[in-house]
Amino acid sequence: MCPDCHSLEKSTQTLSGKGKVLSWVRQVRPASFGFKESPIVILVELEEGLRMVSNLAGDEPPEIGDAVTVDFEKTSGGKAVPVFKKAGA
Amino acid sequence: MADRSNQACIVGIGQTEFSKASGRSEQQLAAEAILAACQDAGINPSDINGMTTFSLDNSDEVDVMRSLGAKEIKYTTRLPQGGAASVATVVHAKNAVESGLCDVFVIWRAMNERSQYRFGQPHFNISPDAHSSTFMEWCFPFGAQTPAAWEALSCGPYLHKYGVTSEDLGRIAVTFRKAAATNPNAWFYGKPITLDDHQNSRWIVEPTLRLLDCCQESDGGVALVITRADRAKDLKQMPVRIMGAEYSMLFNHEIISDFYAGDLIRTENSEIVADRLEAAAGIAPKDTDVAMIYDNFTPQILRQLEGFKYCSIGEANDYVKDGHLELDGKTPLSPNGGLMGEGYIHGMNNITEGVRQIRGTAANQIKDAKTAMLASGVAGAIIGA
Repeated sequence: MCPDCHSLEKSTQTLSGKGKVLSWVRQVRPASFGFKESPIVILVELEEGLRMVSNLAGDEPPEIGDAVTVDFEKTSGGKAVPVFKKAGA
Repeated sequence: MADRSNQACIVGIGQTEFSKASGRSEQQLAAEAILAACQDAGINPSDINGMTTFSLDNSDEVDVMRSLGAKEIKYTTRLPQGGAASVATVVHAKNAVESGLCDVFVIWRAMNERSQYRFGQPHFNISPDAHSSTFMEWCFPFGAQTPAAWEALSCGPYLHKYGVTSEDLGRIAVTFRKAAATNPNAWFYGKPITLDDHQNSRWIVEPTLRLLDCCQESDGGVALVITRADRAKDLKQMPVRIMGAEYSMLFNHEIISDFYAGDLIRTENSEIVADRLEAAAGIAPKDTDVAMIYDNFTPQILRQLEGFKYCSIGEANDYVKDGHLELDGKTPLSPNGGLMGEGYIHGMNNITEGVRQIRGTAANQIKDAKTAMLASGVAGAIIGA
């Protein structure tokens, strides 16, 4: 439900896929369940102002403030989830 | 402010031992802790007519009544938000007795979170409909699956902005363990740590939390009994007044995974609670004699020191470095050793320690303690003689 107008209508919007890293972590103990190795988890703020938790590709930690762009990774169920890579990488 | 004769008072505290394997059910721990609190107060458990616990508590109200022999409950509720509920229970207790709805109100929390399950590890049986499942769905698929991971993600921007290092956080852990080392009820009694111990402890979540930045997982139960001052004066213990108890949950804010709104630096809900507390109690948190601040992880101490206005934004690290949290400092922090040193009964053992400090019966007694601040992020309370 929309907290402003309380509408139940849904729509989709295309986002830029560009954002910046606000924070990052990597679970060491226990390692992240469902992954071969614990991924780098990032908190991303998209250009449009939304924030989301996602992953950064690779195993090199980011700096807070780094620019990232969206990438889509296939899941085992044949769907795709949004993950991010460093901008320009 | 409530009329003094009508004011809610904590009149009984009770607990089991804090261990890593209690050897009995959580239901039994709950009943034992409540009975101990009633006996401490000199109240017959059959008089209990109001109660609350955490939404995460596994014991059952009907069975609590059966065990204790409580005849009729007029008000019962369960509080959300994990350990943030700890001081929120005091808000409900105060209102339940001061309104006249209840006469004898019991708060309890019991858990076998070390021997029966691991509270700090990922849990896979989350329903998609309730019990804070939304934040799990947003974090879990990306590998942020433990309280330590959510906390570290949430604190990252603050620690980065103010240049807080792992060693800085270690100083906080050392403080807790120093107090625990001289508290015979603490799991880590006689086991202080050094800053080197902290720096050599293994990573739990990079780049922020080492093992010694984290609270324990403990088995045990804690309970409190609350009644009004007019009844409290005839009981066994010196009544500890609930001078103020306040709560604030803000739009789009979560608890441990609180990173979808706000600047990720300030904790606005705590600031609101601090102002309301000062108005209600007539004393600011920073001017109380003891600080019982919820310590699930070390960065929480910095953020709550600022949120509850012990110091200005960005100054908490220096506040710690200056020694103010030592037991002879101006903000003695959790003289029981806190949730890191004494035990982690989801914050409730910090509340009972606050009561002991006002009574003057604590293991590490703060001299002339007349008031204590109880803090758990979204909730705060000031108690006093």
